[in-house]
Amino acid sequence: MDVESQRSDEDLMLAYAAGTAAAFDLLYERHRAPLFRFLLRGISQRALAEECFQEVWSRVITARARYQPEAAFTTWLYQIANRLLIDQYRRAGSRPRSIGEPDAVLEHTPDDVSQQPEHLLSEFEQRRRLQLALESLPDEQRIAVQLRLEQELSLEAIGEITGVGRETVKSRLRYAMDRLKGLLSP
Amino acid sequence: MSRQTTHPLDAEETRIAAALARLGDASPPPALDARIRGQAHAAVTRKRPLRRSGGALAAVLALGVGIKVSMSPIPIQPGIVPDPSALQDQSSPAMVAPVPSTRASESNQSALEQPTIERAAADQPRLDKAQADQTRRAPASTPRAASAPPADASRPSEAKQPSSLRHEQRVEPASIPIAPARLASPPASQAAENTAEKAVRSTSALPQPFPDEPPQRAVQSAPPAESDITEARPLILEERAAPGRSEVAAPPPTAARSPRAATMRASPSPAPTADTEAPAAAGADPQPTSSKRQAFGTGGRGALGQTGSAAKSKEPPSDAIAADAKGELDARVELSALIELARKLARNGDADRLTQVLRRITLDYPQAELPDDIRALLEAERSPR
Repeated sequence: MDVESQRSDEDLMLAYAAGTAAAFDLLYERHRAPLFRFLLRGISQRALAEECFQEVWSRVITARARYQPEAAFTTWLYQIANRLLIDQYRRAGSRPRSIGEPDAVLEHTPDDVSQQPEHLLSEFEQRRRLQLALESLPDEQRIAVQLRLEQELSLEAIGEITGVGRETVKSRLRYAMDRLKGLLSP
Repeated sequence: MSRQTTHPLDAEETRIAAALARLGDASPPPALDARIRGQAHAAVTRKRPLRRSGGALAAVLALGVGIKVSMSPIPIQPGIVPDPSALQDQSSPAMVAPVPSTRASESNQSALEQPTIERAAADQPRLDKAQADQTRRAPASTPRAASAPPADASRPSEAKQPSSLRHEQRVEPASIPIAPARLASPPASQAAENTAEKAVRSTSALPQPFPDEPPQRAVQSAPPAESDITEARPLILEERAAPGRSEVAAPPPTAARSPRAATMRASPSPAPTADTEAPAAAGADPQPTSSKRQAFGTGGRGALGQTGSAAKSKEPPSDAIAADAKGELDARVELSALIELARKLARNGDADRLTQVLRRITLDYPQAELPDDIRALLEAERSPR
């Protein structure tokens, strides 16, 4: 199992395409939480996020035979997710806002936060402001920030996922980071 | 295999990323996890039907062929009975067999039937004599020839062929001697014979194997009565009882309408020609060719064949070989379809159509190797009711 867990995403995907179901389990375990977070941040509605999450993996399963290891699996996976997000935005007319249902975003608050009421209020306010700052970003900038800060993807990988060049990604990231820093600064 | 897709965060990015992480560590619900994993496992363990559907595909194709055959009308000509003069020719050499494949070049013919050609060459004097006799008699007895339609243009000119090859094309034994049996049939059905001829002509695209024959076989007549069929059937058994007399006999008239059948008979060429020589040696051949052709409905194509022989003689031999092979393949497919149809009809108890199909098999493929069940059906069909 250790040897299997050390295999790259691409190897696992090829193994799954060849019929090894266990390879998919490993792959899924690696990417399920980050992918779900990415979708939930983008949609902010848990039901829609779950729907998109399942659709992403369904497409991975369906397209397993066509997978080419020239592209990184992560890039391919988030390309699918990004397209689904954009489709979701188009269907909804605009990006769904999480205003009115903050619990959907904040329900998984870490337990190690201080239990003092004023500290809890401060933490809540800080997360709330960050959430609002993220939602205020244009979709392209928000997606670039998420992929960079949460997935730690390189500029090239983000460019592949979003279909733009490296410099465009760099520009989007710079604008987004400046805005977030301004919103998060006291 | 994979490129470096990640890049470490700088200090500012790390600070904001930590703030983002505090927004919550969302993860999909376990039920969704189970559903996705189940879908993934099912996808790779599911059978792939297309890879294993070879047998089913073949079955569907066979069924389609069978349906097509069953939907198409079967041009069985009932009551094909010769005229009385044919009765005198039973001991004559069989010069009435159709050309195995009218598109075959000479080289192809010789490759296929060399033994037959050699035996036919031995009979050449007798056959030439018989042909001359037939040619002399023909004009007086064939007023109907004037209305013969144009023949197949693909028929090679027999006049340009070596005489031995010409005779070889006519000498073809029949392993299922049905046609000779009709020689013994009552003369009541000259009309039936004409009908068969008409059916043959109606397939005007078919080649005509006897281009040098006088146009005495042109056919105009009314369809025969159905009773002609039943009259002819016992005679087949009668002929089987005395096979030595006419193993060489001509193929049935419907053979002429199907060059594929002729090709199929020609290619295996397993049947001996000893029976061919025996009646020829008897010397009783007053009217061999024309009367037998008339009896089996193969005459008259001679005149038709002459019409198209010039065009056919220009065809390259390779095309002729390819066409010959295609004709043989088509004949095998058709025979298989007929056999399947006969089995189906036998299972369904459709006696009338079964009779038609069996007759078509018998007439079109007299030398074909038939399965035991089909042979049994044929025997049952021939047995007196």
